[in-house]
Amino acid sequence: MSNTLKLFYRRKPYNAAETDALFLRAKQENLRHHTEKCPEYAALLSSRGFSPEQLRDSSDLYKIPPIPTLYLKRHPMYSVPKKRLLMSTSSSGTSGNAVSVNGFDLTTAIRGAGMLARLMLAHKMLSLRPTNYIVLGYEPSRHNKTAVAKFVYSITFTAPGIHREYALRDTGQSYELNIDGLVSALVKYEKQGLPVRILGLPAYFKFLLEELKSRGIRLKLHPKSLVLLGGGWKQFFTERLEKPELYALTQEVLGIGETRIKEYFSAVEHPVPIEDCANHHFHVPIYSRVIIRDPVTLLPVADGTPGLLNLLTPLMNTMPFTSILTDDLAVLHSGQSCGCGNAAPWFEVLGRVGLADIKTCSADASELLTDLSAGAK
Amino acid sequence: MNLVNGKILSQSECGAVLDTLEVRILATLQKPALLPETVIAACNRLVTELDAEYFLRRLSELGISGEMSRRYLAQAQESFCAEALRERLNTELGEDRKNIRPLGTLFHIAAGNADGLPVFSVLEGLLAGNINILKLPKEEGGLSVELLLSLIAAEPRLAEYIYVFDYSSSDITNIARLINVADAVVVWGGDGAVSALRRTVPPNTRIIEWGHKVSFGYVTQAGLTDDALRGLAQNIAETGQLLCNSCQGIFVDTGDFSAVNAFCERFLPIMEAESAKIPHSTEVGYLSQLTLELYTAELETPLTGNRVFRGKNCGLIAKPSGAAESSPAMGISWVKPLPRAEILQTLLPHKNHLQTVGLVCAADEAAALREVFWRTGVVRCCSGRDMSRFTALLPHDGERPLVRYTKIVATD
Repeated sequence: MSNTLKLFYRRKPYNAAETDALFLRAKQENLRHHTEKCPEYAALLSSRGFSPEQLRDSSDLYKIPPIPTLYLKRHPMYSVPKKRLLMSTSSSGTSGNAVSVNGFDLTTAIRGAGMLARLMLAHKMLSLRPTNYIVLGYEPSRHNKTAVAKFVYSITFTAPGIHREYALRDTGQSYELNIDGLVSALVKYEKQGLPVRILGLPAYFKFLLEELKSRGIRLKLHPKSLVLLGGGWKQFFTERLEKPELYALTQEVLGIGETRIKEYFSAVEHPVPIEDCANHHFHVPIYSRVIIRDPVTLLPVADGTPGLLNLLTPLMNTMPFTSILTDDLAVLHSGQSCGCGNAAPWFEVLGRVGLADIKTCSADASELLTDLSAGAK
Repeated sequence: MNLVNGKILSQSECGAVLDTLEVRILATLQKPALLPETVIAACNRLVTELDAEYFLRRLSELGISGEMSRRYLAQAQESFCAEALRERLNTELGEDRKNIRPLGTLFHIAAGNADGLPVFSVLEGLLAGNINILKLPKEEGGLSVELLLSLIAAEPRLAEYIYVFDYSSSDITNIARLINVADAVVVWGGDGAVSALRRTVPPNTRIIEWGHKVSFGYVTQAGLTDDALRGLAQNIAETGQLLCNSCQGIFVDTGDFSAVNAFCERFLPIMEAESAKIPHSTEVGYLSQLTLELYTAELETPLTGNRVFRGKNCGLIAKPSGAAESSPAMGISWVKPLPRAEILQTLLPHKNHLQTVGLVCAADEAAALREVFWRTGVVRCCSGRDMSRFTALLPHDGERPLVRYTKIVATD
């Protein structure tokens, strides 16, 4: 069994300290694989004066040149023949920018399956109780390849699904907003008395709560109901501050308490779903390492200092997503400082790089294009 | 924010307005025509009675520096006072306007990049006598509606000529309803927006397109002075390269890439000095994005042959060849060789996309260079410092907006 597979099939998904040596070996394997199979990646590493042999110790991980997601969007690189890709997902292209693509082959999928199973067990996500689903996103269809849509859909199999209602319903030609459908589904779900799982973007969830409130609807959903939010706050950066308000509103409108609201963090280029703990902190699972980098020098900074979020995982076999520099600003904290009992370090996403509200007319235009053509489809 | 008949409406109240929009417009059209003097008087009151302190504070909340805000204010006061507007009407539509009529109803789709632009677009529509429906750009900040409310307060008769709706571009159903009541759609945006609209707008509705354009600097050896370069740097730093007339990059009159690199070495410290004056240049979000862009460009150099010059709060990317293009903004400009003999053939394929050239050349070179640039499709040549200077009399993209917002009628 390769070190990489050992890592992804470890029993406990947290415990970074104990797995440091294994993570390093898996990372070395992964780097060797990508440099051997992907000449563009090998060339990129050598142009930065780095060779896989320089990775000797866990403290060398930062030396792997981090690749910005922007670079990967412009120059997709593959380490396996494209015909071996089983499925691919893409980012949602939020700001009209190029989307990133991520392909899974069998090797990556086997690793991912081990990881997902462990994470879902650890977070008590699996249930045999029949469950109704509210999906705050697109109904899956042939014309939607976004990672968010696929991931969220896969979650609707974590407990036996009775009914699924989607915020954006596929009409065959396009999507339509299905607020009335969601509202009546929730009312029906309450009467059925089964747990409800609500999945999707935080901003959509907030919108749904406000809509229910303005219609004077107050529900008391099954106590085992679960709200799973992910896909990032993205443009809703400033609304992050309103999380406690969101929890209060959920209790008020749906009767679901804060402990039943979970958030996960993931990126197309780093498809490890990182779930929050009881204190709503993202602890880093053993499959990943997080480095925060100085906004100017790109060198690692000390815990507690904000900088660019750099994610490392040996998960991907297909594309050299070895060390990814996201466009998120984040802070890393020691595990002990959380207090939830999980000793793995945790990070806090502060928002996206750049200045809020800055917009060129070309960016604005491409958004209009995406919007209009999505509607015209 | 939505504004109908001088009142702020909630999103749900707008539905009812949309249902009766055609009837409302019909009622307005049955009244005597809106006279330019009514609009002029209202604009004049607006700019002379404007609470400057409040306005400057609002602009600074939107992240615009004090110096820039004061310049905005001065330019707005200069451009929308009664005298300037009368001169503009005379210049654009002529002194004898008895055969000139408004198009009817304009639907403005404003871009979010230029602060205050949505209001300017509506003011021009009003000046030409039209009913105006404005779709606000995303994350607009509320300034447009505030200004339009003050305008209506100055002249309540304008209330029924101004509609503002906050529908998102993805709300196809409602956008289509707004397009349907309009005689013309005025769109500020790029090729993407324009082509999407061309597919959506029915043939009996005109599309009036402004932007997206690319503007750039052109530098000759004979014209190279620190002061002229500082002018270009000022434009890049102050506008954040976000406007159609902002300098996106610089062509150097040479065929030699090493001369381009030498130019970058001379220009970078000037650029750094101007960027340092911009208030957000030290913010972590700004610096991180700048670093990401420049680091990505560095990673790409084996593929592109470019050379990256990293500045403290800005950057230059020297490229061995190529035509005019948008920059990643953030004070990052491209610098490319373009010998004057090759200007026409290099830029001509970009027809209708080029706008302003900031010329840095010797006085005796200017006329000949301008003549070449006009032929490429460029509509304005000026100093680097003046590239984004706004005056009421300046045509948009080489055309007179009031002419496009009106028609000429004929009788026997």
